[in-house]
Amino acid sequence: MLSKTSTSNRRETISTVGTVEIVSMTPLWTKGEVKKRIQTISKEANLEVEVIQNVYYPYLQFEYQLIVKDTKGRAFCFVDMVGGVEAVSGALPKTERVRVPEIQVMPCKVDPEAAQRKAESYIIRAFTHRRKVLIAPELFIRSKHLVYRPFFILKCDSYGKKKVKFHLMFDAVSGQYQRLSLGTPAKVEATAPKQRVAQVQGVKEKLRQVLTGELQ
Amino acid sequence: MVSIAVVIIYMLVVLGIGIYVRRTGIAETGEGYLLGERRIGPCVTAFTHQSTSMSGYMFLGAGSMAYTTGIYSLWFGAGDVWGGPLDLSIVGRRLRRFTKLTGALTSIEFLEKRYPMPAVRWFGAIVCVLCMWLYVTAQAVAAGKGLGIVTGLPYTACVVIGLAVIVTYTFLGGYYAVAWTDFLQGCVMLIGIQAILWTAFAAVGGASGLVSGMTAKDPGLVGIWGPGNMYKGMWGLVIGAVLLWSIGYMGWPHVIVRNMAIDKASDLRPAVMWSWAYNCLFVISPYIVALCTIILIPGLVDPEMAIFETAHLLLPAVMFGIVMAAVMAAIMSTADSLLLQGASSFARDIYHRFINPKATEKRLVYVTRLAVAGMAIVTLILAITRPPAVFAAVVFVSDVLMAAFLPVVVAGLYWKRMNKYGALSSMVVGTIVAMVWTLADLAPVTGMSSGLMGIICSAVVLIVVSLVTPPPSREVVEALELATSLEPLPGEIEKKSEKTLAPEAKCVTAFINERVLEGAFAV
Repeated sequence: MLSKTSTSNRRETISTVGTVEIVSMTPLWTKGEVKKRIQTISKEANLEVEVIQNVYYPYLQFEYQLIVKDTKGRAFCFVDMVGGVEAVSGALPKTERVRVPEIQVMPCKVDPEAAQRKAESYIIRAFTHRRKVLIAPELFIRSKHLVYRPFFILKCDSYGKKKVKFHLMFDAVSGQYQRLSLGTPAKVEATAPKQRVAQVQGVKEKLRQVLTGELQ
Repeated sequence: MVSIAVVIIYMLVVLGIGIYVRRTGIAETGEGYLLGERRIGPCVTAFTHQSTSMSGYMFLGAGSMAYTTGIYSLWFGAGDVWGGPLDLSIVGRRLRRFTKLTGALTSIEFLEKRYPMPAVRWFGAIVCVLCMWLYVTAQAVAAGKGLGIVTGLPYTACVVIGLAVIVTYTFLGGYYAVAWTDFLQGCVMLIGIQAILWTAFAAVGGASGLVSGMTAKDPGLVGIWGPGNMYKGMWGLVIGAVLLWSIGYMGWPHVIVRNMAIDKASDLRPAVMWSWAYNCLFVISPYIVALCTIILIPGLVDPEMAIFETAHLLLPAVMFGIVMAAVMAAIMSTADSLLLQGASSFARDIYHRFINPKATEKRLVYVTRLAVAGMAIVTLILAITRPPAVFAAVVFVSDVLMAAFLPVVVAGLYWKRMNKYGALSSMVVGTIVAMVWTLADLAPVTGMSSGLMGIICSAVVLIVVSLVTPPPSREVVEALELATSLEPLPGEIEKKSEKTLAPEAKCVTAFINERVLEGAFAV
């Protein structure tokens, strides 16, 4: 069973832990707007929405220059540093430096070199697939930054025809959301705590080296 | 010529679907190729579920059985009406959630996630691949016979053409193409069988004409125990017949994988309704048509041709073409699913799990495609050189799959105490009993069908072994609890949630659950 603490206890816990400065994508949604948005999606569900937590999700953001024959272009790619999933983007999001409780920041688990390889092969694949060309573009990296995407964790109670309790994570930048399966620890594939800490430390160090240019 | 044109158009359309899906790029990832990115809606899920289960058997085997045993054959049809809805209701939701949570992409992979033991995967994959191969060979034989009637081409050429079409769209589009072609094929089957049903029914003078005509031929044909009361008192066979086509669906890997690919778990309820509607219109129809054939065309040399011959006798060329397309649809919709299931089991459950665990996703898709082609070549050789009887092969494979997998799938989703030792021993015993029972032809002697006997033995072993060995690990039980505890979200909230955030949601869930365990967060 999960431990239950009151809201005041939770605040106390967060305020006593250390803070850390990160580069976060600038949120476009406030807590109030998020609650309103979810409630208006399904009025008949009669939802009570509470923002119970903020979570910062790490992405390694790459900017590349593409050269195909005489044509030049730019491409941006984000690699999810926890799950390792990559995505291309049309532009870079606005970012800001913020100081947040360390406990809300998700640790990176993906090797940054592997992330870079993924980003490059993803851009090449996306380019050749979209343009229907056989020639792969030449890629030159222009910048790479570790940025965090802010998510609100919402606790929702539906008092409509069907009474359902559920959790959502809400992307404070795009306004999209997805259900979370909270309540029972899904640790089927989790590593042991000590190994996990070592793994995270290793990735952190490598990440520092990649971002500072020590490791190319 | 007209009927040939209808069949050719139909084949070009299914090929077009395969090519279109290939161009969308959906089938280029592991989950995309094997499960259509889990984006299949309720109606298509119901249709692919039904058309996959109802193979060439429905037009050849069911026809043959009804033609030779009369009303007794309806026991099989009675079970079939329940098959799809039961599977979607009982297994669907839990299987969809468990496999999504654990990332399982094949039905055999689900077994290893639920019962973490390499031998479970090995044994399951080998039984699955072999059964799929024999099953798809029976479908290839049916395709050859069916196409031969329409085109007049030799059997060998027809098998080659039929398999070539199936392999092409399965190879190109993977599960997504298979599901959508199955949907189309399900529609064609429904139109075709209704056309021949009402024409044949009118030709014999309706229900009273049918009963009196059959009684005149042989009074045993209208009895529930078969001609000459040959199955009298054999309740074991009757229960086996009903079970085979009703709960049996829950043990067939190529059918339960349909539950894993549905868009949302909440879509399963409408899928059940679609499945019911389809079955009410389709399932009994081939049996009734073949009963009419007893009166219309007595003394058929090959009873498996009962429905073909009736259609040929009664329908105009265009309608005959549609019926033939329906027959081909029934065969192809099952064969494509079998090919894909066999190939994905080989690629994911054997190659990726035991031979090359470091294989990339791209390589996995490549190996699956190669396996589709390889399996088709071996099937072709067997279908040409040693063609099995369609009905016997389908019943044999169905029995073995049911006995091997049904108890472990259902108990795995509903019984937390069920463990890996129980699962492995249940699968081994179920497979052996069903095979021995069929090969030694023990059913007529004992009055118990091989499927029923296999399930009973498999279930008993499963319970006993699970209870005398240690319970499953906490992680497995937690995953199962999580899969069964999630309630569907209110309609619009579910619909508007963003699927592309699913990978992040999985990681955030694990992160928050860890924080909760540490006492840092409360949810």
